[in-house]
Amino acid sequence: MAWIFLFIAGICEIGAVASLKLAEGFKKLVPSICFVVIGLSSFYFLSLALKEIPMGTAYAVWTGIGSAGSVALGMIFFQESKDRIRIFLLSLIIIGVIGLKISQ
Amino acid sequence: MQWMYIFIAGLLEIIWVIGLRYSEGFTVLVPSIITLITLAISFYLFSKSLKFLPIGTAYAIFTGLGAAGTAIVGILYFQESASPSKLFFLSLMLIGIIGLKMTTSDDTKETEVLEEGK
Repeated sequence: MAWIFLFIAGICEIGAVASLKLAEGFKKLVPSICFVVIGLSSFYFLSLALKEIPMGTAYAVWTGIGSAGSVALGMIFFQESKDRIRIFLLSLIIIGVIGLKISQ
Repeated sequence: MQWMYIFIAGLLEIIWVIGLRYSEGFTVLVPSIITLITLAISFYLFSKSLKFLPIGTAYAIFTGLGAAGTAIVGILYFQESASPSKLFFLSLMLIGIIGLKMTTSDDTKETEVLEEGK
């Protein structure tokens, strides 16, 4: 069950980032509220997952889903660059974050 | 300017993550206040950067800087080990962030940027 919570937390993280993008610097009300609600849900589900999964592993999976998901979302819905070098550099950061959290 | 937003947001993330550690579940007053203030400013600046930077890039750099910074502070001030694997992942992140900074074109079509640039 903890892994399902962690997965939901990761998906919420993608939703939170997308809402934040649509909120345009907290100028738009509905996306801003969505950001706060989805963002808090993300932390809530992460905290539930943390009861069974070690911190480093949980955080790595959580940000891994969040960052890879944001990249995919940006490409699909916000016309962001699909350039190979960009994807390579983004992968370096994502691998770096996951590696760092797991080795802690 | 949008890169300044994301860098400062990432640096503030280091402060609130450490603040969170000291706030002990928001039971200690001063660290709790510092955590909440830096958290709010951090997300505000992150949201500003999202107006100009691709969300994939902004989010990766935001979490990357937070994770790298927290690890470095941990090594320097909290006697955490500086294992070779940690240094390897830190360098990977550094290459990724610098590379993205160099290859991402700034979207200066936004009027706000033009105004701020004057």
